[in-house]
Amino acid sequence: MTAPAPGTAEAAQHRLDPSPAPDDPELLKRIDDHWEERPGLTGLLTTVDHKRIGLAYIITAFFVFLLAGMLALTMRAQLAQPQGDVLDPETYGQLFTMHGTAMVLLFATPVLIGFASYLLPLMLGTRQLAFPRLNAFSYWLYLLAALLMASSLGLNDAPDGGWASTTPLSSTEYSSGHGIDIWALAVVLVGISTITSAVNFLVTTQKLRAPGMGIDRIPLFVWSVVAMSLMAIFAVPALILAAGLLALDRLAGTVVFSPALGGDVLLYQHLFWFWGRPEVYMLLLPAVGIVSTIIPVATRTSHAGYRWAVVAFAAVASLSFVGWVHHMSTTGIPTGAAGFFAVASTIVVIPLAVLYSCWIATMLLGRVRFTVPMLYVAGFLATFLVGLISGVMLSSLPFSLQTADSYFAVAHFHYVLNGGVVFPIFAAIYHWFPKMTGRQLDQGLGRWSFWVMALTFQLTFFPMHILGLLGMPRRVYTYEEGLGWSALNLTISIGAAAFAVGVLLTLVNVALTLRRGQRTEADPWGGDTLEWSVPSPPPRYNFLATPAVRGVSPLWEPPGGELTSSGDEDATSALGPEGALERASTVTSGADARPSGRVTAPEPSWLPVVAAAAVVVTAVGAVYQALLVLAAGGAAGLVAVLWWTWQTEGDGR
Amino acid sequence: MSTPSTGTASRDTSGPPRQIEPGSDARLAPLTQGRAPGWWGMVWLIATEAMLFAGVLSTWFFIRTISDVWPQGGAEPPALGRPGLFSAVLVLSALPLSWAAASLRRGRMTGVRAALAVSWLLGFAFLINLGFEYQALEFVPGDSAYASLFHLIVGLHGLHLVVALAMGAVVQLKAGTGRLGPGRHLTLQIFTLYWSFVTVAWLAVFVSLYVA
Amino acid sequence: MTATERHARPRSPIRASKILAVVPPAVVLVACGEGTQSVLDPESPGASRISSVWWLMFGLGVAVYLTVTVLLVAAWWRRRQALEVNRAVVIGGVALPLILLGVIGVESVRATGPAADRGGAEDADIVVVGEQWWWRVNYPDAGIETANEVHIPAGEPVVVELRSADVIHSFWVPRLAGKVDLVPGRTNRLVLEADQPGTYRGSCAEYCGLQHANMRILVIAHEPGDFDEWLEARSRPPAAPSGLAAEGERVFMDQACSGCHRVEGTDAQSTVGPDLTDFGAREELGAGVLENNRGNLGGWIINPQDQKPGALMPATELTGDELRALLAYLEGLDPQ
Repeated sequence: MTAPAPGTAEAAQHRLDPSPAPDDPELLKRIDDHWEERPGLTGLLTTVDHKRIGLAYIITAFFVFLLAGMLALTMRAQLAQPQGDVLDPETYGQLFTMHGTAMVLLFATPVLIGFASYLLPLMLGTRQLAFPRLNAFSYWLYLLAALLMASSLGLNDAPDGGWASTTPLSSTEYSSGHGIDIWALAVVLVGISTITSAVNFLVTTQKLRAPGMGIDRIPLFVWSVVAMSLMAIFAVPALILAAGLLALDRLAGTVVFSPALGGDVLLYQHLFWFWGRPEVYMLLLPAVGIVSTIIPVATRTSHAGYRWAVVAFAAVASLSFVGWVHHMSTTGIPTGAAGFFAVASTIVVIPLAVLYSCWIATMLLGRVRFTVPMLYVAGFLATFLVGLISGVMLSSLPFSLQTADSYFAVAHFHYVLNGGVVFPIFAAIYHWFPKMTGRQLDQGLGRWSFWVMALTFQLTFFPMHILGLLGMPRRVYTYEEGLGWSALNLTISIGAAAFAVGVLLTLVNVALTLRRGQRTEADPWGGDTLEWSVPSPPPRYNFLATPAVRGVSPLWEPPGGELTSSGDEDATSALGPEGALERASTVTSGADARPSGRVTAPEPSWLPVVAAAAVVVTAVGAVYQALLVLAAGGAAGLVAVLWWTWQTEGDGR
Repeated sequence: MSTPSTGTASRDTSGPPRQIEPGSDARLAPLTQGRAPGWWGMVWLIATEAMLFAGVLSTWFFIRTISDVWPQGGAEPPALGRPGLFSAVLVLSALPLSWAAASLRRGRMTGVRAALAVSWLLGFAFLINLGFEYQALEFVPGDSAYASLFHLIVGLHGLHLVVALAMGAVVQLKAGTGRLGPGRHLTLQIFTLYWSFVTVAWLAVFVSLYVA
Repeated sequence: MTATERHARPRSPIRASKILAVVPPAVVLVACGEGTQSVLDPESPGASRISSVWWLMFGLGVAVYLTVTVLLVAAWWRRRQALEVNRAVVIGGVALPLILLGVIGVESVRATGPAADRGGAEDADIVVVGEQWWWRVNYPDAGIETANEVHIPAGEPVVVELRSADVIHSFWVPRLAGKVDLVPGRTNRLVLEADQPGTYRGSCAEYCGLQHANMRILVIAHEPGDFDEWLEARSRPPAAPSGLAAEGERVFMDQACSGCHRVEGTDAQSTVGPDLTDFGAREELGAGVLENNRGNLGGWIINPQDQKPGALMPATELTGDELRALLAYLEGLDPQ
């Protein structure tokens, strides 16, 4: 073999050793004991392990995915033929409201947060997230908010104003009952949960990178999570505000959205879309980060144009903040303003085209292996491209006047969110399942699942473009014959059912593999990022010894010495196994990630779940105007914050 | 075959030497500055809170822009004098915190506790006054969008102040029990950030609702 | 892992890409087939411009899709080529997309004028008010009101003012114009122009509650002379009903009907529901739920909730005779 190019898998003759296992089994046992969590349900409720919480996120989100998918199938049954009578209009309204809300807020966002929670510390080479209890709090808040939202469906009092709950349709005058109250408050709760996760991911990336992981060596998935988190920090408050003001108008008698009393209905849309526009990219970016992680592994070569990709993430994140008015192009805003935002929406395509160029270049330079994750990535590349093209079309102002709120828009955002986000999520499942469980999913069944999903996806969503052009508006529970819509709708309904079969195949795959799947080694794919250097599944402490990072694909770099002691004892004492013994992680600082201190992971705690429950109790009290419940929840929440303040580590530098 | 390639074929033993002298990469040498994770956590939390205030104040100006009369519904614009005075009180309350930090560096816990107490009392005075002013308001939230937003923005800030005061009490308690002391500065640093934010946020509220 | 397997695998994704690439042209053929409410079968200057923007974007989109697909497939087949990554990214990721976006942008801007024409400072010829779930249509100059049908003269631009009485609706007649929302508390405008006389279908395009799906509208373009006649017929005081219809009028006034509906020249002056003065001349019932004929109308009056659950018109209890009389009366409400 001739000398391989550095930064390719072939150059990785020396993997980082899976941490020097101490000869002393006694020490290993003591470390394990220090990280052990309580058994059973107590252990789950008090866990602060980013991996358990990440898995809990992913599993919960998948339940939501299946539920929201079933809602969609029910709607498709109604629309399979003109004048269908499967559903009454009221139920139909509730179903599409819940489907959209659940898919965006309770599935896609949390599942990506789950992957981030699981992977970030492993990819960064540290033993914990910056705020392990805050991470648990995020999860419990999400779970309880999701249950709150689901309860409305169970109580037959589900929100029915569309996933955007646009005013004034969502005001008490046009939607009595508690459905939209629950929607608004659950959205606020999920928003808070997203923000706390974002803070956690940002600080983890800032302060807990392995020594040597400078900002030019951070894995692209982590960069994408950073971009998502920054967007969440700046965009989600607008969602909280929109939903919060809506809830106050409905429950507390304010009139911010009532034109008769000096309020304005479009104000709500401004607030909602100020979040809603970036939200699409908040989902897309981590998905793209997954793609940018899997392609190098599957092609066995480092990502071409790493810096381009990072800049592209940043560009997507910032440009997405100047597109919100484009979602309001038909509301009668002045053409000049609409044009400006149309241009801003269009420009987002450039960084995405840059990413496509990088991916193609990576594949050209490497050698593609057709693993199942890579197949799903291929599905993403082929499908998301359609969404990108239809996105450019929709950002043409005149064209959007015809197609906004039509099935063309429905087609577009399913290509972007289902094609652009769900395919990468499935790729991620197949890619990291062995890491998470120690078992390899069946590749044959995985291929079947992929092909069924990829082909029926087109059958389901492509015809929607045509329906939109033929004049079919979205959110209709019934339609007439004779407009050329019937055959297309039937095709879509059949496609949707078949798509569900594809999803079920993966579900069956997971179930079978968990029972009797093939055991796998630490690194079944020959990956380049640090998570593959630890056993599968990783021990609670992730790394016995913190790896020293010498490149963007650390496992493909020639190894360097472990950094065990050099100068500042305080800063480096957490690096080795003795750090693991003390539940400690090294804090690094500066753009080049040099050790500068240490943090200790908190013990398992009831604090997060209690605090989350307190917040949710407050929300429930608000929905049902039970002031005592509200006050009790609020007081408990305040106590939790104080308890947290009390417990804040006192040993910062 | 069911497991995909592991790439074993391409691994051989040639390549650069296995050992590099520890610390030879400048990037791996320790650094003695940098903030603690908790401090950064509060910075990001404040960033997101600032967006919330920016959002609600934008809402205020949005409604104001589309209104023919302002304030709406025949409401009297709020007086400037007393709220201005107490705004100054709130701004002043942030100053003792740097005194507290200086005392902590010198290990003078009495100074820390006194500074915290002064700061807390000033904040509390502001809150009490806010309560009186609130009672004297001549409009209720349902009167107009103006009235709704006025109540809402002042209330939102008041809520933040209540949390800050409660946290201040805990910090005082920590200072008294040694959980905050020489070498354990983080709680005070984080609290100072939050308190400063609450005062700055008030200034933005005051300028928007009272002055502008 | 063996070499054979590695070579065997790359086939399937290529198949997928081919399938994906073939679909769009097929779609176009389908799309042109039917035109009753189609964006691609425009009958106005504005809608035609939008349609040509679409075809431009569609052509470019297909070209881009094919190019990228070819590149992806090539990337799977060819391997380890030396590649100047920066140059590839600048060309493929920045320069080419910018050029294409520029072309589309220029065409879009040029089309925006006619497509988003709001009629300048002219007074509105017609006022359309969206209500849950029907359209109130007013001709302020002539002082007449009708519902769910907008009659216009063909070949000339008509300025329509759009308002809402309750929630946000959106006026969308794809063959004539892009949609414009009807927003409570605000007034929007739209210019309607039909090149040819005919009936153009449209619907509400913003979710507005239970019966959003059944909130359809017809724009009926007349030859200019016919339009004047249409207008004039409605400006005349209506003829008094006689015989069975006169009996029907009494039913109308005594029963719940007159509580919500208005008929010019009678005691029924409520404006809660649609004005029925020219009801007999309308093509459809319940904002497009049913064709307006005697059988459908009878069923509708007895129980509108059957056909349009949630509609604000309640069921009525009429005897057979009363219903027959009422039908005769309503059918007679035809100014022409």
